[in-house]
Amino acid sequence: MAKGARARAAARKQRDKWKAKRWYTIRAPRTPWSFRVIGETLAEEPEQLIGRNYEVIQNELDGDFSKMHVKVVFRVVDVLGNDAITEFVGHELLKDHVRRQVRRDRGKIDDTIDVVTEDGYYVRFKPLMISRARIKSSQKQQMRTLAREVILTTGATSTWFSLQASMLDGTLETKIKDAVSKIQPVRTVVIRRTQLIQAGVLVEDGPTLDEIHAQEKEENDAATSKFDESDVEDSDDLVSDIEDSEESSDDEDVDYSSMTVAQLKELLKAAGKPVSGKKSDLIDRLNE
Amino acid sequence: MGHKAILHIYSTSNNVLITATDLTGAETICKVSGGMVTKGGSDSGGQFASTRAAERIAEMLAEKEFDQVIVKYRGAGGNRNHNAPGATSAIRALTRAGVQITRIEDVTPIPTDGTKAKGGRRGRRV
Repeated sequence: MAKGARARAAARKQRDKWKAKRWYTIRAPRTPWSFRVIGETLAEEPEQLIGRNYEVIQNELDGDFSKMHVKVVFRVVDVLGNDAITEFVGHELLKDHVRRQVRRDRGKIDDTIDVVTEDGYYVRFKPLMISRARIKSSQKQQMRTLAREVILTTGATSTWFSLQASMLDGTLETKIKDAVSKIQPVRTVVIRRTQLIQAGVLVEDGPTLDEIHAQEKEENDAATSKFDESDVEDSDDLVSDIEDSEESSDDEDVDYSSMTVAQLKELLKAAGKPVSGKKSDLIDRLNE
Repeated sequence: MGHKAILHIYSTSNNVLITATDLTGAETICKVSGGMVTKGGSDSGGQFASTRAAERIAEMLAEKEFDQVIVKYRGAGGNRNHNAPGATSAIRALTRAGVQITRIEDVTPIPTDGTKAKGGRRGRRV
């Protein structure tokens, strides 16, 4: 029975730890998904979230039913309050989908290609081509070279975001197919997997997270349509109280960093300054 | 609506390990193994053990307000057969326990190179 007692004690400990954990919302990158909520994760400390990978099926992301077999991978790079901000780090086809394509009497051409994009992103591509019939290895080699050329030139002449778009919507695959079909008719051309190895210069556009928050809040308010000014005020105070108790060590401007973004914006508005950007930007602007 | 979890089922001929994590796979929610639900050591990899383990984990998930799962099952991998003997029975038990399964994925590690499996060209002759 000693074992049972120990197991129970362990279970109790586990549960206590469980209570200490908080839920965080995972948001897709700013371009092109404009911080869509894609999932949730939990952690004791927000720092623990950094570097976590989150996989989502492309169908769930874009609502495209022909992309049921594509997993898109996001990595958490930043945590702002309850939001985990992610970046796109690659995609992968489901294993069973790929294995279904490979049969006897069909040529299979695999490759691994490292591409550096125009804006300095270092990406690894793993294309897969399946021919209609059995083909010679010399033909395979030529087709591999052609595909490699297409991917390298497209990669070198496009930015990371446009490359993302072209590999997720299939235009890159069509391009490769057109190139290699000259040698032998191909059945399928897919980018089996991409991996972001090293990030380059990030240029993002689209609405900021604060704007998205405001929009979501508006939608929420419209849905419930019953929140007094005083209620909102109270909850704001509550939030700032919690933040006070949680993070007490901030070197500069304790009063600003402990305030909520909404309060900071009020101050900025009063000072006649722009109210867009991250919280840290807001604080910098107030300090100017 | 409840939360969603990933259920990692690692099934070998000797044991079955079921671990529920959050969607990033970084935080473990709960875990059960075949040995925890059976008495005999040799039973713990069987279908019965995996069924029992799946029932147990469904209970634990319900307690923590999870009602949807993504199942990722794997066998032992390597250069021998890649089947996961406990996976199907575990998945069946999960559906019966009322857990909604959104996706099932095979994540058995399959080598693309490596050493030759033992047994020779014509297999083990008995």
